[in-house]
Amino acid sequence: MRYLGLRLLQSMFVLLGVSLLSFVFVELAPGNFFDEMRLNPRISSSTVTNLRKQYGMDRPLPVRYFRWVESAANGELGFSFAYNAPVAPLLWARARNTLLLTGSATVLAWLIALPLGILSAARQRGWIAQACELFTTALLATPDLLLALGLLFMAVHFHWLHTGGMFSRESAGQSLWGLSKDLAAHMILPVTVLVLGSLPLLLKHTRAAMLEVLDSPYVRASRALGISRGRILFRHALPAAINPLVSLFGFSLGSLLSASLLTEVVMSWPGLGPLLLEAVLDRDIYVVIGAVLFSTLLLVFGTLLADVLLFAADPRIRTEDLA
Amino acid sequence: MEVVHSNPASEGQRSSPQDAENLLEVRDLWVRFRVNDGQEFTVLDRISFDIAPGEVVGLLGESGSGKTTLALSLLQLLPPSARLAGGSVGFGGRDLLLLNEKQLREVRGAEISLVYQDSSVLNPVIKVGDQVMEVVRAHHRWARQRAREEVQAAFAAVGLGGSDRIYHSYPHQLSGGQRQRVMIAQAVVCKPSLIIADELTASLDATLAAEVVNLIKQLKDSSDTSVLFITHDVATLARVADRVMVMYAGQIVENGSMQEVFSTPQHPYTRALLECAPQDRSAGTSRDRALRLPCIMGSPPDPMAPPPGCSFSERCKDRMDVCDAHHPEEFHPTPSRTVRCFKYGAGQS
Amino acid sequence: MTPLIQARSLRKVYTHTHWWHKRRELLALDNVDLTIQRGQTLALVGQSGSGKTTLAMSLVGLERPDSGEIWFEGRNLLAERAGRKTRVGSEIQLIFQDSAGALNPRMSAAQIIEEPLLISRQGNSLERSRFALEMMDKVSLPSKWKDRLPHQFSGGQRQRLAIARALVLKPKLLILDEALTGLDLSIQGQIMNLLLDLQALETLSYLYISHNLELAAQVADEIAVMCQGRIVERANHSEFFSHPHHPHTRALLTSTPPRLAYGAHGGG
Repeated sequence: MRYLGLRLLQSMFVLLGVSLLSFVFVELAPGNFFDEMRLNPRISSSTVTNLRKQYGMDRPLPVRYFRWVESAANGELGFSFAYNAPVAPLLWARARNTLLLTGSATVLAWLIALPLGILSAARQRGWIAQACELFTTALLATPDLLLALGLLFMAVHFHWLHTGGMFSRESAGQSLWGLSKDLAAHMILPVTVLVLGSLPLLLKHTRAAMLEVLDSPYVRASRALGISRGRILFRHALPAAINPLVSLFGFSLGSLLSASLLTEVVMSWPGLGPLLLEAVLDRDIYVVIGAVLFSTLLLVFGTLLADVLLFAADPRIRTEDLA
Repeated sequence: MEVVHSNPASEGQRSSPQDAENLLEVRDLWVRFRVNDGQEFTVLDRISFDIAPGEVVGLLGESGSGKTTLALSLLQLLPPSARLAGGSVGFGGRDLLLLNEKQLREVRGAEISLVYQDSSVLNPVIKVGDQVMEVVRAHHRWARQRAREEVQAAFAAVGLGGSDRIYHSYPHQLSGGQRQRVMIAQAVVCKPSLIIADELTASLDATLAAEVVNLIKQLKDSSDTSVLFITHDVATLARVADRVMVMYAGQIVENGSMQEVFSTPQHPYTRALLECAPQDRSAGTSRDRALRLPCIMGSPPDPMAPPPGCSFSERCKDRMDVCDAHHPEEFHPTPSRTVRCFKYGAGQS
Repeated sequence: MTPLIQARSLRKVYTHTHWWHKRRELLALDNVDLTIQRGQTLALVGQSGSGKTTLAMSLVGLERPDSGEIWFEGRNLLAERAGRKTRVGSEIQLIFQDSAGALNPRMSAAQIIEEPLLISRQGNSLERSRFALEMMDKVSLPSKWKDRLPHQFSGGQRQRLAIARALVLKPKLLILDEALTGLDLSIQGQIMNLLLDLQALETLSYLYISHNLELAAQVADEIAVMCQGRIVERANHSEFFSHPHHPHTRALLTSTPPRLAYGAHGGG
């Protein structure tokens, strides 16, 4: 328990550090939000200067930083110039959409990778294993962007699925069930891209972990004791192989927000990705910092969760070594 | 190889001296291994022996003799590179070598159990009690309560009874000796009629080894369990074995009661091996530096290039000309003994 | 006569800290004293976990004891090691039980033997190869095997290779940590005889560590028993067997199987 306290403290420091670094880097990046306006001849330079003053952009960096931290403590996380609203609610609305997407994709990917990986390790020469190998190699070689664009192209060309946004215009006002169906339909494409992108890694790791365990003395001894193959696979081998997979799971949790940026932009999914992209291009600095912070938070939480899960899943870590 | 039976006695007495109901009858077991480049070599060269119920049979052999292969082949647990080239293993009225996987699974663990020296055969992430339970589950459809009782009984039998703590422990929480006992509990929980112990005491120190040996004796006395005790530790065998077989280069070169083999060893290899075994250590007041320890010079023959004659002839003190040219057959100097050596008039093959 | 090596009051505690356990301490060496005379063999017997290997590692320098002293030929080893004067390393050598694990699987026999010379920069390439062949001869390994890899040797042959490597830098003390355990009975005698011959030839001292009392007893001048980090008994050969003191020793002696009358006369 004391350890958890320590970890939380650590996380606070990490977040603080990340926010500071982001601030500095954004500052170092050339240009700011108001430069665009300056280019516009119709807006006088005094307006720009006033605007800047209003947003406190003329103050020195440390002052701005502290004001931001204050604002973060208030739950606002700064102010977005482009949207003319506090950052936090903006981020949260978008982050929800992203989490929906990546959450489903992660769960789905694991649900597919785990059994496939186990089976391909159990029957190394079977057709499942060969197919998985081929599949994995092909997917690994294909860049995510290509995958996304390719699927998009096919969807548009063949008028298959809905290809943009979360809901169709027509669906406003429909029942919950109708809305859900609509949402699901819109989700199919981006989720597919995400799943295909993360599957190879998960498959490889599952298979590797299982193979190592299947070769161990205790599995062979189980066979000598007359235990059936199926039971050995799931009740004996899998629990012993779970260790590296749990860590992997924690990491995939941690990267939930960041993994989907490309896909969201290409598929026009209203998530954190497009928001972040926009904000970077516009120099909407507080949005950028807020998004980065959100992502970091999730990463830290993800690794902590991985450690806790490992503790629960592996008795070797959980209990003391008496020998 | 021509088979020339010049000893009529060996022909008539193919079956074991104890012609009563044998638990296990191995006949002409022949196993070959395949190497990467397609060549094959023989690991078990037509082994034949019997085990009676309640008998502890020691199998003395060193590395390369094929003893572990023998243990594995009885239960058909050989790796894919091994090929069963012939022979039969009679057990309970059936030939084990002809059974399919499903039938074999019923035999393994329930009627014949294999125990090893290395306690890494315990799954590190499953409680030891559950691991013993797994064996029960695999063979019987008992209610939970009954199964649990059987597991507790097995623990008690190996000296781990008395508390639930052990049941709910993981392997790494137990000492080496305790892990060994858990392994034995796994092997005996379904009350098999034959236990094959492969180098059970090799990595144990003296006190632990003694305890394990006592355990074996108890099992033999209480439940008439037979044990095939594979080891190179002569001293341990002397405490517990009824009969001893000596293996060299894939063949059984001597087979007889423990008394006979240990007090009047016949095969030169057996004699040399017994001399190597640590003798009375309290002899002599100080270490005599001139004394050299007995050993057998040379090493076992390369299975890929077996010698034309007797496989031990290279290292044999009593080597004769005929030994280099021909393989000795099994000879029975008395009904209960077998020797494979030309010194005793064994036939050529 | 000044002993070759003398360890006094060695103490080593292993602490086990992990974020979710309490701190656990394991007392591996508890005030251990050890003396070995020149040209003599001390057998150290004890169960696994008694601290034998920790002691061996401390003597060789692979572990640092928390406190205590080690005097080797009048030199304070621990002080020298702290000051990083590593010439001491070559005079005490260690041979492990797992010969396959102790030899680099990618190096040929000759390379393995030459390596210590290479590291201490002795001799040129020609001299080193010649020396390696000499060593192989000394341990009765055919010199035509000099290019073979470790896995192509049998267990006993690998141990010979390990011994050859250990002797290259002319050590005065050889520590054998379960070096014969696991070898075939017929081979144990071979290796032991080799060691005895070498001991006579080069005036070596041996620290022979084993959990098996019998083999140790056949070659030891003195025998020490270790239990839970402490040396509980130490006596010369005859004393040890005729008058054991510590209950642990007595337990060890009674559990070793009694002498058997192995027939020297065969059936023909």
